[in-house]
Amino acid sequence: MKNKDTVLQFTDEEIVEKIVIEKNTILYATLYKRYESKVYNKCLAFVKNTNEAKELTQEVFLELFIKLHKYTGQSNFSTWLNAFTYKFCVNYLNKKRESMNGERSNNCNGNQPHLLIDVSDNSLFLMREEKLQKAMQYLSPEDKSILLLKYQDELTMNEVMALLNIDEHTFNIRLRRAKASIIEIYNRL
Amino acid sequence: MKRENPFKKLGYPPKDVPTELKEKVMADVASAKLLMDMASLFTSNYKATMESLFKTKKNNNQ
Repeated sequence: MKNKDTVLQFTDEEIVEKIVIEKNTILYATLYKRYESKVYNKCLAFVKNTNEAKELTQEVFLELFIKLHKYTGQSNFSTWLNAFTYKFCVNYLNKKRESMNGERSNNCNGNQPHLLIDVSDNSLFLMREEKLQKAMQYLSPEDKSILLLKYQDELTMNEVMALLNIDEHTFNIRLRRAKASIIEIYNRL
Repeated sequence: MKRENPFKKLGYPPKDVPTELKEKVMADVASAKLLMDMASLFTSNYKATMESLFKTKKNNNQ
């Protein structure tokens, strides 16, 4: 085993490669330390309380260890992990909702009336931070994840499409719906 | 004038991660590793085992 200082000098990508080959849990602890705060705080954006965020973070890191081989290096690891966390949170919340009231959250539905509203980025940036934070709590997990990837992580359309494995048409519909929804909720508050 | 992106400020300042979480995660990971190692005994070596079996058979036929 390499000494601690050497491990700290490894890039994320080098560490991931070694974990995938060696299934080395000590290296995984290093990766955990680098990203615990990021993943935990992303989870907190999706669930309401810290206990649930804790559980969710624990599950994200377990799933990450199992699926780390799926990281192919097309984007940097940090970006890939963000999308991985969002996708996990969306699935978790959908399953939870399904078990609670037997229905899935709305996926892309071109017939929704608010899809007709095209919200500009300028209108989005007029929102006040505190009220936006509150409005985000009422947004569906799918809408939340695409807005966070686009506007918080500032990924390009191509990056989001690759990470979520969706085409341009789906991306545009989802983003348009998410923007319309957040404005609608924000204005109702 | 370019407006400031309010999404960038969401979740700031970041909350501290509960310290006990690392222990739980690493315990989960250790269990997962054990299961993966056990599974690999029956899957990844299967091909090599079958290959060696057929090689032996072929050699015996010669």
